[in-house]
Amino acid sequence: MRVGSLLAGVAVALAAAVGTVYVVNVRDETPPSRSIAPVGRDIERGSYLATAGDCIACHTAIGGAAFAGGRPIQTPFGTVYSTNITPDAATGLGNWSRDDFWRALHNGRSRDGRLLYPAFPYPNFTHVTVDDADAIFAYLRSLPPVTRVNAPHELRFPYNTQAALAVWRALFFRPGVFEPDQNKNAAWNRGAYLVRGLGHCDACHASRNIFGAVSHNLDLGGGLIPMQNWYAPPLVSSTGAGVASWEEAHVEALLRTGNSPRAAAMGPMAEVVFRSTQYLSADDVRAIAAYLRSFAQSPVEPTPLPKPDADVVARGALVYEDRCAECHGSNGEGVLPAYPPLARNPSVTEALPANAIKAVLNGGYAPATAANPRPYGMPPFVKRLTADEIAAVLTYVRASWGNSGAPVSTFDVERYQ
Amino acid sequence: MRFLRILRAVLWSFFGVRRRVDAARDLEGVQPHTIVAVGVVVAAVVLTGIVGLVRLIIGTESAPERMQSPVSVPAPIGAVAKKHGPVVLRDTMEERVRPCTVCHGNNTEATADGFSPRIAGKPAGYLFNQLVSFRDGRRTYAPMVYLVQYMTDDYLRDIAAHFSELELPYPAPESTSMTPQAVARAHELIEHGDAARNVPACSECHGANLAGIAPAIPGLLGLPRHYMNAQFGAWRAGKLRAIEPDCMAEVARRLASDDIAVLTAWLASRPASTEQKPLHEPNRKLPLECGSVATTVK
Repeated sequence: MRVGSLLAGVAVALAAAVGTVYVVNVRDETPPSRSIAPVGRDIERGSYLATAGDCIACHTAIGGAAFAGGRPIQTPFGTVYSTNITPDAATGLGNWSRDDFWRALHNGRSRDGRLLYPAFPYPNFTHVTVDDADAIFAYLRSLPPVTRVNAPHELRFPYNTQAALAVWRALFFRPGVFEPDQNKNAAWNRGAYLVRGLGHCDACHASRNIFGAVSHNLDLGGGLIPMQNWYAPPLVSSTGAGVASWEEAHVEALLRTGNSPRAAAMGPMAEVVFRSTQYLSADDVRAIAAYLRSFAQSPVEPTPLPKPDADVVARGALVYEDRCAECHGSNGEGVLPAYPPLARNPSVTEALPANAIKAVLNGGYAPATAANPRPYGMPPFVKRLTADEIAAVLTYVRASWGNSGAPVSTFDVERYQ
Repeated sequence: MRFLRILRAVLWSFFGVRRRVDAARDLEGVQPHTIVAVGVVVAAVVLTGIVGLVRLIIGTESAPERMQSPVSVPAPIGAVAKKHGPVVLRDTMEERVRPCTVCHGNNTEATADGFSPRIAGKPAGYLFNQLVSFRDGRRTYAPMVYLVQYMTDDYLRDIAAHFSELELPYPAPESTSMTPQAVARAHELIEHGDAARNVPACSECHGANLAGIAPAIPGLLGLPRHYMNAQFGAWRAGKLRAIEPDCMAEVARRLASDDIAVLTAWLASRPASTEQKPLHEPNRKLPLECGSVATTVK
């Protein structure tokens, strides 16, 4: 009897915990009320919004049919495969209703009731309005159906369980709606909606905690992208390569052409420009710029750095003259729009040298966009320079022509490649 | 006092192991529902504590990792001779393909190393197909994929056309030691193929002069032997693919391993010249179906 009471107590406590997690996971799941019936323009508007949200990037395998899914997304917890969102009845969204679609975007729950992995950025998409969600759904319904069976995710235990996902969501996910800030103008609010909601910029431009969640106190503060090791600079800060103090025209140029006097889009951002932001309207790009610029602050007082080893710098200078100076200039002056200046370039002197290392190793072209259809590029030096030479040349560049970046070690080069 | 006793009983029950007499003493005269109520409250307190702890960990763990902007360190350069004057940007394809020429050779030589293939003078359709294959996942050599992944068909066509029009001198042929029997076998395969294995003659698709057939079939001369061996291995392993039906992968699988070694040694040893141009025969009848040729000609 007494043992029974104790067991009952424990059971009730457990049930209370499970119940809490359950309630937290299903809150705000009633279908939204809609004032207007869908209209014909929805498909066109939905196409634009789907592009602004860059759905195609994740939901298309390399060389695969558009929106048919199957692209592997590497995470620290395993590989998540994107799903088929063409209107195929058997393997895509063919049997979905717009309420099902809304619940996926707003609550992160699939039509069959399964909780979705936040690699699908529903912590951002939850802020998308009902009208916009309906328009995107109408557009997806208008696509040619493609039969492609979704691949099962390859996640490790316990991350492959719905229970773990439910606990994660109880801790880190709140369904929400976008609340315009009445103290700001319409452009600022549109920018906030695109940056924080549909555009899901913080999927990369924010640091993540050990549970893979974007931490809200450092939202958009920049971060190293998990698994890819590209550093996404802060969007709401002026420090380092932060973009908050960029001129509006430079933000616009980067998003619409892939190139700007301040920086060129590289790595994952080149893909974002290539598939998404180059197609944004002038108004939306200006709205994003206005939103980001509202976070501009005065630069932080610098602190002294250790002096780099003179021998390393001298070796780096030789490599630089041999391999880099022809395009970037003996004084790091570069020439726009092709070869960015390296002198006083915050992308080059970032505290985390990941991007500079990746640029030297892999090279790359700016994305080919409507405004810059035949971009110039940087050669890959992965087979031409040793890790030691790359460390030396970057140490030299980061300590020359008014630059002030910490030395780069051979270990850094190995780590970020 | 009584409440403390119940609390003690509940906490012990969380721990799970306790002397029976102590448990009995704590539970004397206590109603079961009181125990349950206290249990729920304590469980809630513990859960809140865990959640709070997790939040605390996250808060400290994700503190900014960035260093402050440091002060300038004067660069001790003096010793290095500056070879380069002001940077001049030319609005030409030659300028735009600099990332390619680091490995594939510049204006004066076709290949800079023993592995990267010659691309100068190959048919434009062939080069375009390769660039698209790197972009779309049929070919996977990482440095190539990085360069072309965010390019449009139009730009890739421009790049392919640029290299197809280049007439660069060929490097000296590789010196390979081949027995007379091996040379004879190479001739046999080039001119007649291997009927027993259903392998067509190389020249049937790549042209009698082995300079390729425009627009989509490449020439075979002036390529490093290591490169050709690697390509045959990749075809056979399914790591190097073309648009289906993939005729060359099929030929590579049909060929005997020894014959591949003989062919690559012989081809690498042949002198090549820019005088030998690809034939232009878009409608040539081929012994196998080739997706890459069919889509290019179409």
